[in-house]
Amino acid sequence: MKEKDTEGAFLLVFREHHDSLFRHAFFRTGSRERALDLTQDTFIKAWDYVRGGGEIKQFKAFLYKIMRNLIIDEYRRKKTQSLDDMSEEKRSFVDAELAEGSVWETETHIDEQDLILKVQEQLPKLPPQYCAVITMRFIDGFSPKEIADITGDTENVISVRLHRAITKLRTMLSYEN
Amino acid sequence: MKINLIEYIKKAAESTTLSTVEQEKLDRVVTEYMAMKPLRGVSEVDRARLTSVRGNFFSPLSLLHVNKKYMPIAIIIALILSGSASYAAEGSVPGDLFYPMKVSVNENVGSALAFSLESKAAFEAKIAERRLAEAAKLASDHKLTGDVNAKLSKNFAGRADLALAHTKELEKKNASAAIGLASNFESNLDAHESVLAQIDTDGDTNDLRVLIRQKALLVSKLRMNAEGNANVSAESKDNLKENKGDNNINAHLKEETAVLMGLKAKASIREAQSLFTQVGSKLESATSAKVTAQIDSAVALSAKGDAFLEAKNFSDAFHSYQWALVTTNRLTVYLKAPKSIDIKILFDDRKSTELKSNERTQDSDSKELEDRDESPRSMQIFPFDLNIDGKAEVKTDIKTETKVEDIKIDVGGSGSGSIKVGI
Repeated sequence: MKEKDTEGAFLLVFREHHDSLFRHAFFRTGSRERALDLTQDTFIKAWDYVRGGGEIKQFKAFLYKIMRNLIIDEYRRKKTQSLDDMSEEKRSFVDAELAEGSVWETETHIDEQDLILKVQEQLPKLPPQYCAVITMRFIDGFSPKEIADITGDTENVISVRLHRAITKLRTMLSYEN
Repeated sequence: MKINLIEYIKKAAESTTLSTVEQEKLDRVVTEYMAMKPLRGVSEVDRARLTSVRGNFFSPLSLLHVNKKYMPIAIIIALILSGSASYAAEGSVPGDLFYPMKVSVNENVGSALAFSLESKAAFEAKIAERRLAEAAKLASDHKLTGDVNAKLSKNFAGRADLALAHTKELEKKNASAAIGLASNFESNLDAHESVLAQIDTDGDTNDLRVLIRQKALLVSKLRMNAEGNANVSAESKDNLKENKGDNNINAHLKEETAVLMGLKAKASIREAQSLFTQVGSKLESATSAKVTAQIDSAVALSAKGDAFLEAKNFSDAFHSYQWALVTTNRLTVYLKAPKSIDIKILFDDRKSTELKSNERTQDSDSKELEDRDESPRSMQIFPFDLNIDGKAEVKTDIKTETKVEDIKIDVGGSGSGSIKVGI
């Protein structure tokens, strides 16, 4: 039956993407528990949409859009982020002058595991838009164009934001070290 | 040495993945949800059969046709936490056909699938309160036997202790959430105790009410401790004036705390208004007037919180919202009582919890309440009749502004007492 095919397909999509969605939510929120809640809610909403007769062309992008909206709802509860965004935007120009790209030199020996842990800690602390683009680009594997489609921004805006986000993260990690 | 950050971002991602247990839980929740809400077309016959009984998908008879395995766990959690009565088994009491399912299936599964500490604490507190609501319903029907009373009391105590434990753990990670949960639970326990006191004419719930007061005191202590720690933490960060970055973080933390409390308060006000719309016609006019006044006061407190927030006075905003939340949550307990009862106005729960460790039903010549602290947010008295154990009435036009007055109250006609009130 067609409905059985749809259910089967949905379950396949669920099992294919639930880990990556969880990972995305984790790096956006910094909390494992919240990430689990958000992942669960994403698939429930997706099923509601399918059940309501909605058509989905690109499942992966669709799921990330739902997740993104859920995270935005959460950020809206934290009004401070809007203030952070403004100040971070201004500071990013200074950061860009101090460094270039994602590669930087350090004189001290870096413990690899320690740096990985620091990335896990610091990434969720970035301003939401910066955290989102880094997560979607380098963790979820979306291209700048795909990110632009999901967020509704232009590809140029995404590219600039990526550069600033990487610079900001590098600065934060430098302070940590 | 050169470090490629992107490479480390990818490595960080590789080490972040769902555990086996987490995967299984997610799988179960989603598949059960899909089974409970199948695609249209395949299950129309089933849905028609299920909805024909009382017109409610969740009616008791419908449960006979639904395989327990496909119970919508996420929905159960949502319904339980929202207090919705539409799920039939959720409204059952000891002795009802589906009560065992409510306790042994729904509640235990719901508890297991509450992921975060905050969810767990809220869930256990809600279940503890449900035991009290069940006791009230049985007591109003004179069906609260000794055996059932003992079981309800034991279950209530166990759940309350779990809620306390989770909230205490939560305080270490998120003090604002812990304070909000504790405020809510404390006030609701007080309201439940008051409901039982009025409904139980046989004296069957005296021991349970003592137990409630004991747990409420523990919650109160936890809340005050958490608030004290939060203030100390904020002050110590304020003192680090040489580090502007930390001060900014502290201000943001306070604002976030206040905003979250505001959202909870507004949601609670909406629920109280909705409930009043449903049951208002069944209330006596005097009680109805009190309810309206308390809702209006909560709305005013919430508006005051908004103003404080706008002025970046986050501490006062938090407290205004907290009182609005406590007021309406408490009111909701009264509105959900099985019969129309008198609604007690809200005193400062921090003090009243200690006062209520004494017997409330004993006659008292006068209750002399100590002056509250000078903070305008420590106590609120609302402009309607003040009943003290039903033996005296005082009308006061004291408004909820900063004003101190002495009020003389004639108690029992044998003398007079006075109460100093700091507002």
